Amino acid sequence: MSLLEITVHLDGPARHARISNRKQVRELKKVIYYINQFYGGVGGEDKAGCEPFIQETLIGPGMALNGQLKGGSITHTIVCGDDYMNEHPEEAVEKISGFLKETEFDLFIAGPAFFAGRYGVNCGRICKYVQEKFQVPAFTCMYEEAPGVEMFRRDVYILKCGNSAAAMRKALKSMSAFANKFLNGEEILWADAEGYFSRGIRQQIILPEDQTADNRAVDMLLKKIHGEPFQTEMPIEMPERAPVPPAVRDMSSARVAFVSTGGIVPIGNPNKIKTAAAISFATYAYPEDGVMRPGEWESIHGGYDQKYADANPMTHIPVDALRRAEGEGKMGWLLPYYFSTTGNLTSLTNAVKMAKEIGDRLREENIQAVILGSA
Amino acid sequence: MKLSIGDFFVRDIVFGSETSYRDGVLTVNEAEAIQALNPEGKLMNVKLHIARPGESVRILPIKEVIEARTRPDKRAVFPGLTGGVTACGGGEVFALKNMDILAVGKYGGWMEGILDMDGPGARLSNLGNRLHLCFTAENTDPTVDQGQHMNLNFRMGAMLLAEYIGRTVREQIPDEYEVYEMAEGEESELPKVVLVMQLNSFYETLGFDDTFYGTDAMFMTPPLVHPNEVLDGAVCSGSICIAGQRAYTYDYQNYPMIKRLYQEHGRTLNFAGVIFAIVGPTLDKKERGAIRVAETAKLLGCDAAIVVQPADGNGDIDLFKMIKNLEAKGIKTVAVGDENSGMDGRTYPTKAMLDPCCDAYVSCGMTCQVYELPPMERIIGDLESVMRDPYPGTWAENATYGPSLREDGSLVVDTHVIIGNNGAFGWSRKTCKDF
Repeated sequence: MSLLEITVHLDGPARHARISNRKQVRELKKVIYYINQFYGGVGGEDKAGCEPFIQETLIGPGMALNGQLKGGSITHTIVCGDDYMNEHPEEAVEKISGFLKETEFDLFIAGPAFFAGRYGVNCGRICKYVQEKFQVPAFTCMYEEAPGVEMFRRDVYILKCGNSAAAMRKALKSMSAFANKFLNGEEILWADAEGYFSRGIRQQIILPEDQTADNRAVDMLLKKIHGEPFQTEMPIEMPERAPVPPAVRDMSSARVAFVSTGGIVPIGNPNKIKTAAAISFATYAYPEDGVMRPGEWESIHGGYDQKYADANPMTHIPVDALRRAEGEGKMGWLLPYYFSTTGNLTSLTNAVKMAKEIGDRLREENIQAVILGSA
Repeated sequence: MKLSIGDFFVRDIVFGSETSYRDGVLTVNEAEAIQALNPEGKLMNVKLHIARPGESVRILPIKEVIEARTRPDKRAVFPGLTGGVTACGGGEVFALKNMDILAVGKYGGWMEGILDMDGPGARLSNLGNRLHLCFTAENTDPTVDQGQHMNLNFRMGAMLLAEYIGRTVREQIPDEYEVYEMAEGEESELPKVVLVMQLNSFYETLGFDDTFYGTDAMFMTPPLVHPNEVLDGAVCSGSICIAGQRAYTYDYQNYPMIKRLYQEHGRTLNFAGVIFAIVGPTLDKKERGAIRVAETAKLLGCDAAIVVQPADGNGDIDLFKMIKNLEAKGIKTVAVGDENSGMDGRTYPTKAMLDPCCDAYVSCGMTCQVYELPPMERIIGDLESVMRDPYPGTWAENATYGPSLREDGSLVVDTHVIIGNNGAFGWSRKTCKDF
């Protein structure tokens, strides 16, 4: 008997998963599959407002996924628009909950969402909801830098996959292998062994007989002595904390800058800032008269509907309000240009790198306060 | 110094008219054995019990674990405790293998453990596959061992019983010898390695700490000792720290990390000796201890060190200060210890102190992993202690699990209370993973 089996898990997800595992069901188990409007064949961004619906058919990647399942099959597919769930999360999950109340199922799978922002978050959200509400295991699959990973990795299993649909085949392979473990009552091993993002749960396991602590310690020591690679068994992470700066004592004399991740650039995007996963930023001077007009500026941010920003760029870069505050003496001086990049899908590494470069520039300008505007 | 341990492999233990050892079978005269372990009558209601691997037996609360031994030259097995202080680590000592002596009392506390001889609990402990000769008892003076207790009468009883049983083989020829020989100050081209052993010691009141030649470890600054002294009864278990993690006297007598380093000695490394580390009760004493450990290792000319911590919490600070100081002196260090991520596995940091200076850590298990243990047919000791007494790792009530002791006799406990779960001194076959 494996010792994982006799472990009582405190965390909800694992406990629920295990209870379901123990259920002895002779017939094929039932799987419900969730995808967005794009993979559901409804349409692209223009159809992202699509309300959820359920069908007793295999749709999109569900066909290939179903072909690889053993011990169960996809009985229903739920499709929901990215924007709909993003903008109406409660209504969306309620509607889906309504579908599920009418349906018997043993496993819920969503995605893969790859590097998608809204889709990934929605996959995480619906999996968490279904798992908690119906006590049925649920999992999804994403790229490591997708925002949904950090938001939901603690709540549900999120398998790792590539950053675009080019990685679909591989993603479906690992999703079906993981699903088959649930469908056949097999034990879910630790994150590295299964390929999911750690849920932040440390747990004891039993090793083979020869891997006693003395053997492991001597092996590790000899490797360390001889400069060979070795793997510590308890990684120590000291999270880097951004210190909170002291308050600005006197705003009426402060030099102020505006930094935006909203993606507002002069028409034509002269500095070729990426529309997603940015690796660079640019600076742009405010117009002389302090008004940013449609047709002269545009949003190149790939993570939201740009029409409002295009209609009025000052929804993102409020130069009118900033100039007014400057004129009224509420701030000493406004740096006459702003920093621009896009914040969607930007990796932490690149974000930190850009932040350091921007910080250096701000220091050169002797800036005392920064307003950071997001999308 | 050369230590020869003459091993007698015990196949079974039975009660009989004459205490004797023959062909792997130990026969015990109960009345005589009880008299031997309780010469002054400090214990009452003393009874003996035998537990074998695979039997449906639960033993609790266990206060001490000792290997039965004797010396052909009749010196005390535990110098400073069962006899005058004489040097440990040289000459001959005889040991009864595959079995140990367990002291079991009525009351549990923070260092008392639970052992199952069958089922999942048996697999969690290195004690699960040995024979046990247990005694159960209560203190004659009811005022002794109230609250946080020293277990002195139980600890002494276990030592005396270990010596009494050991004497059965004094005139016999061992099945085989283990020989541990290391010349003091031996030099070689191989990398020089020292073992730093944190003892279970932070109690300023005498009677609680591990002892070294019979004296509480608390008041010493970390000394350099010969590994044979550890294997030969110089160090004995006290009555603090946690059952799942701590070293009992048996663990010191059989310290796997020492035996493992001996295997490598002269082959891949030059084993230079053992430095004891204590857990300082104040920051100054922690600093002093960490300074002494690193300086001693450097004076020895060590290239590398293994630091073993059979505890967590307070001692984590001493551990990381030692690692920091050792690494600062260019001594490559591997730490061996436990993790504590809380019952939900999500508490971070995993130790009271963490420092990235520690890049090599062998994790020996979780201190509070929750397990369900099925009922056992026979109880040696007192099952009610689980609900009545303040064992770490048990609870009277818990919103998720309910009480630790259920009506059918099954338990839901965490690994704090499972004797020998972690085994940082070398037994541990456990590690922790991210789930």
